[in-house]
Amino acid sequence: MASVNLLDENLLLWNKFRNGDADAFGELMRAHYQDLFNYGTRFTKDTGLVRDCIQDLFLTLWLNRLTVSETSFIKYDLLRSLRHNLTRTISRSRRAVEPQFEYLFNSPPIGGSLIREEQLADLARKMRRSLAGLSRRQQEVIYLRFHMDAYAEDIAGIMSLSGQSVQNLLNDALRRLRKVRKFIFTNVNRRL
Amino acid sequence: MSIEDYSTLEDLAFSRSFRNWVLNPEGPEADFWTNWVAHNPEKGELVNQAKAAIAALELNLKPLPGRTIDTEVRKVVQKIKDGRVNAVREIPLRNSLLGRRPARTWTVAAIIAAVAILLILFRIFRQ
Repeated sequence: MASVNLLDENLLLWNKFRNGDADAFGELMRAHYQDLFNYGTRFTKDTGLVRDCIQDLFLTLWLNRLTVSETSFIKYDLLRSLRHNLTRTISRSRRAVEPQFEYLFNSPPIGGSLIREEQLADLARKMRRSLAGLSRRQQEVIYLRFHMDAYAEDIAGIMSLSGQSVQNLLNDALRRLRKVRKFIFTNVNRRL
Repeated sequence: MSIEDYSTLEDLAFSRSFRNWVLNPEGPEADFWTNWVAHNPEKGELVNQAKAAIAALELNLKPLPGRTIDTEVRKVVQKIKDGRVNAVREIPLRNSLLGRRPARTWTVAAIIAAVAILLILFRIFRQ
C-alpha cells in the first residue's frame, strides 16, 4: 500500500514539475537523491563530483521539462543519465582509464547483529568475498537488482546492455553465490 | 502473494518483504515470515542461504544527513527561481549533451574562416 501511495505522490509531483512548479521539482529531486548518490559513489570516492553531476542532471532535466514523457517512472532514467554523465566525466579527467563500478567501495561489512548464528555469519563472509571477485559488470548488475529493485529490463536500460546479457550476468552471479554454500558443506563433510 | 512464490535464492533475497524481516526481525513482516518458515521446514536451508546472501549484499552505508540533501535541493530550486538555469548552457558542461555545443560552434567558425580566406585569395588572384 505504501508503495502505491508513493507512486501516486511521485506522479503528482512529476505532473507539477512538467507544468513548471520548481518546488515540486525540488521534492522530486529530494525523493531520488539518496539512491542517486549511493549509486554514483560506487563509481568514485569523489563525493563532490557526484553531487555536481546530480545537480547538472536535475538542471538539465528542468530545461527539458517541456519534452519529457508523462510517465513518473523516472528513477531508472535518472540512474541511467547519472551513470552516463559520471562515467564520461571520470574517463575524461583520467584519460583512457575506464571508470569502474565497485560494489563494496568504502563500505565496511554489515554488523554481526544481523546474523546471530556463527555458521550463517561465516557463510555471509564467504559470499561477500565471492561477490568482490565478480566482474565489475556483474557487481553492478546485482547492485541494481538488489538495491534499486530494478529488473533485468530496467538494468539493461541503465547500463546500455541487452536484456539477455543482463539476465546472463545476473544468473551467473547468483550461481556463484549459491556455490558458496556447497563449499561450506564440503568443508563440513571433510571435517566429519 | 502465494507461498509457492518463494522457491529460489533470488525469490527470497530480492524480496523486499523478506529482507525487511531479516534486517528487522521484530518488524511488521515478522508474523508472516515466522509463520511461513514454520510451515515450510524443507526450505530451512534456502532461508539460511538467503539470509546470508542478504547480509553479504547489504551495504553498511551511512545515509546522507537530511541537511545535505536539503542544501543540494535548495541550490537547484534557487537557480531555477532566479532564472539562472539557462546559464548552465554557458558553462562548458563536462557531461551532458549540451557540452557538445562549443565543439559545434568552433566547427562553424572554422568553416566561415576557410570560406573567407578562399574569397580573399580568389580576389587577389584575379587582380
